[in-house]
Amino acid sequence: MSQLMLVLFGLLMLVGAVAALYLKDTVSAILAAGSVSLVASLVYLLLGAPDVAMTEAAIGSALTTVVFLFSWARIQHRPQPSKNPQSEESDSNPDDQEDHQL
Amino acid sequence: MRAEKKWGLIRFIFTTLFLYALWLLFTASLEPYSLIFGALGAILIAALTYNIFIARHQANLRYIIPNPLHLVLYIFILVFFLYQSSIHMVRAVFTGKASPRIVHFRTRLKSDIARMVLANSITITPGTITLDLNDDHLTVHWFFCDTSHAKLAGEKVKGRMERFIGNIWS
Amino acid sequence: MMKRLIIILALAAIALGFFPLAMRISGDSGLTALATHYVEAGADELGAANLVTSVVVSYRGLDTLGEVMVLFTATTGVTALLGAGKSKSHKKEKESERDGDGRREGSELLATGAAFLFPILVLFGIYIFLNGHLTPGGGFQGGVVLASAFLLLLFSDCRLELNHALLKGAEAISGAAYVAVGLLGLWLAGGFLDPRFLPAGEFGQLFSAGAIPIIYILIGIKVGSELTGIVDAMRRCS
Repeated sequence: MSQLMLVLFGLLMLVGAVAALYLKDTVSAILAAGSVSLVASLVYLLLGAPDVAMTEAAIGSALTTVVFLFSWARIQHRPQPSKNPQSEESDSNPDDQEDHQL
Repeated sequence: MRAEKKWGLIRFIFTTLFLYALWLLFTASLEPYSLIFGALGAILIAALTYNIFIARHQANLRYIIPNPLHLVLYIFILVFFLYQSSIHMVRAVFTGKASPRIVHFRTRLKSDIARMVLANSITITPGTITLDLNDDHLTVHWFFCDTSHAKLAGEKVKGRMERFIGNIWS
Repeated sequence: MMKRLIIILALAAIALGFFPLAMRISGDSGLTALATHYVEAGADELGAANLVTSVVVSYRGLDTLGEVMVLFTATTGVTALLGAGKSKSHKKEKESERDGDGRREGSELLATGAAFLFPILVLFGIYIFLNGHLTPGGGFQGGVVLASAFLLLLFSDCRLELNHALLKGAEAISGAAYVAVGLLGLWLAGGFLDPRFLPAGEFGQLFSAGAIPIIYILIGIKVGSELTGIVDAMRRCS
């Protein structure tokens, strides 16, 4: 029974990973990648490593996903220098300017 | 001012008791050091977070403390609702009969927690998803919409649940 | 077509390379000599009911210190790159900009749920790292749970400003105290990060296993403040 569950969870992880690769919508892809970690934590729990499972569930599926989502939001809402080069924002934000030069 | 201070103290004590009960539930031990540390931790966390846990605008503790009997009853009722709407959903998958639409309606529940529980109960039952909750206004995506009348839709989507939840936090 | 063929061939080569590893995995492989020693002597030597903890904090304590260092470096890098500690004028500007770009308030659903869960999550995090030597969990896990509590709060209220001086202070003090506890072990007990300079206590009690609970409290506070700092820095610039 336990072996069967392991195989099932492994397949689920594969499905999540492939979905993360092929989904067109980036937010969905990030969530799919997070779901891989969630199932991985279940696998750890089944294999008798609750300590690792807790870390995997909290870091892999929660915090990493959130960090990805924040980065995605930042990439999307990056201020456009060509439209308003004199705007307050890009003046006082050296980091952003550096990004634009790259 | 005095009343506000008293209300603050009541909220603080209630938060502390709640957290301490949770601590006992987590540790499941009656060892003295554990009991003392749990009490210290509960008091510290409650002092820092009682304003978040129970907002000042909550008028009464009645809106926060659930009726335990109705709460346990509601869990079973929710499971029943889950199965009922799952079967409904499976039938819809095979017959292809569905009319998804977004409906708006109001709830008469006054407590914040009760509203949250109602919104999440609507989400967890297959076929309906709460998109937004704003004061007493709910925006729900309903898979089997057959009416555009707000009151009627509200009655169909959440009518029974709302009555039971109203009993928990009354 | 050619490209696809090359990809398939490369995948097949990787699979072939790892094939012996897959063959060697068997369900009931025995413990190595070192692992046998940890399992047999760990409970007697350190008095921690959770064996994983005695390995992570004591036998492999230096590795844990290294991990904490990695996390510290990551936090420093993220905050330095994203500039979380910007001046107040910037903060004000950010405020007006937020009003301008139509950032919505968090839904009331989320706000109520976060307000209800926040104290519970904080308590749960503290429980995890305080009982790390008795039950599964420990400093890292507890710290991450603490950070996720703050994350929930940040989600529900986009105007919330965390106290960065406090976060940095907690991180710095707990990190330094961690090394200090390690040095105490070096002077008073067998070696660096040896927790046995405090009495072992009764097996399975909250005050047992020497200094392991203290180390885990410090790690928990450090990891929690670091991860909260990372998430807050990411949020400020997004």
